[in-house]
Amino acid sequence: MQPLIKVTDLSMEYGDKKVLENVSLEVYPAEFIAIIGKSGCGKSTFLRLLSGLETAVAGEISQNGQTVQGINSQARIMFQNDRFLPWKKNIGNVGIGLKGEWRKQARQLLKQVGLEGYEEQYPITLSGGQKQRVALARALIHQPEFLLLDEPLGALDALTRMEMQQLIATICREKQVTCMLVTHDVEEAVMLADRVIVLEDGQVKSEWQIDLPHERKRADSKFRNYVEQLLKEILV
Amino acid sequence: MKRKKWDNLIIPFIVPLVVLILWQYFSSIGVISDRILPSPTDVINKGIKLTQTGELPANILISLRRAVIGFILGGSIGFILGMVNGMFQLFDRVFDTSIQMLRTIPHLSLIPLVILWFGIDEAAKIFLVTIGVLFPIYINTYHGVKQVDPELIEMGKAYGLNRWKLFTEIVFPGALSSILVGVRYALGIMWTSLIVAETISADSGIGYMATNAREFMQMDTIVLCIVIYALLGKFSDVIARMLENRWQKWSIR
Repeated sequence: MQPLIKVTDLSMEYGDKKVLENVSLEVYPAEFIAIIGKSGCGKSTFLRLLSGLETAVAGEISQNGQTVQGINSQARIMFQNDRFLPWKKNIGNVGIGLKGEWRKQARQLLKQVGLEGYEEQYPITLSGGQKQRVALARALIHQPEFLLLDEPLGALDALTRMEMQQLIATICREKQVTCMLVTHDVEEAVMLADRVIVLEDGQVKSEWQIDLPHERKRADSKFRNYVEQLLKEILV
Repeated sequence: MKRKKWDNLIIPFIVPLVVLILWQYFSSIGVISDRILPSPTDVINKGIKLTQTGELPANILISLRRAVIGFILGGSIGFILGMVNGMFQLFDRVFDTSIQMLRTIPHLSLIPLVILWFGIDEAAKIFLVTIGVLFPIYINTYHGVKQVDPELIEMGKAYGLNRWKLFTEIVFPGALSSILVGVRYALGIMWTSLIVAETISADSGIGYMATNAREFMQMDTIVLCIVIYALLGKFSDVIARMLENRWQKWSIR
């Protein structure tokens, strides 16, 4: 199978500080990748490079065999904070940047993320979890080949977080979207990912295939096993 | 709910009403001489009379016209400069310091110069209003643009908005509340500038009516002009507030 995304020797630095060093990675269609690592390991930068918000100092990113330059129009990123336009209603925020007949689809997506009936309200009235649901709808309406998740659940409480993980897992698998999640939460990574990449000091330390069927159970001994091994890997 | 609305309508007018009643009362018993201040009824009568002769509506229209033209001119220039300097570093570096320097000049100090340039022509009044309105609109637009959340702009870029869309969807709405503050402030300056300009050099308009009335000791006309200025000021403030409410619905929970 051809990889959807191919990253070759990607390096990034801010001033003198090296943030990423020769990172190479292949991502296959419909695969769910999680990137974990200590804060400052370069995982968020990696995601920003993939979305095209920043430009690498060396290396190449290609999608479907074509080099990505500037904003990656086939990818959509979901940020840690919601980044809504507060003056637009929820449905308008979902449809940002779209022309023509997007409303019907926006409605449908809002329904899919469980927010039917919230279309005509302003984002200020939403709770944290609801906001990230709308943000998910906003990312998915573009039908991206590649969905980038930059710790989107980081600010949520534990319960809402679990709900959202479930929702993301379900929707992304149903739509066959290729996903890359950056997180510091090892459990979240094991819950969602087919493959986990451990990043350390800007380099890939190791890759882990998570061979568990969906839906995954946190209490399952194999699940716990993965979590423990990964934690060890990060902390040592 | 209904009761509350009613209260909101009434309460702000209690103080002016009491003042008016006291004023009328003290005038009628002679405590306030009509050489100092004519009674409210005198002023109203004068207003009716001048309306019938057509003098008052004509002068109001003239003043209003000057105000509106000056406001549109100054407002547009201030808005465009504020937007451009706020959005583009290069323009900011080239123009902002100069504009900030000009801003510190009280624009009414230009009156002697303006009279020499334009005489008592329409241009003189409109010029003064334009200059007066320009700066508050400029500063508030500029700051409004500067304070737009860079994360929102980044989101817009990541979601494929082009430059024009970034402006119409994010930068302009993000700066709007600040711009509206500038508009309200500028409306106040608009009237002040106009009054001063019309008082000093004019042959028409409300300010001229008042100055002219002074020559003939027509107290009632002078007070009438002041009241009309107050009404016009209030009127423009109400419009500004309506715009704010209309465009800022989203900020209310």
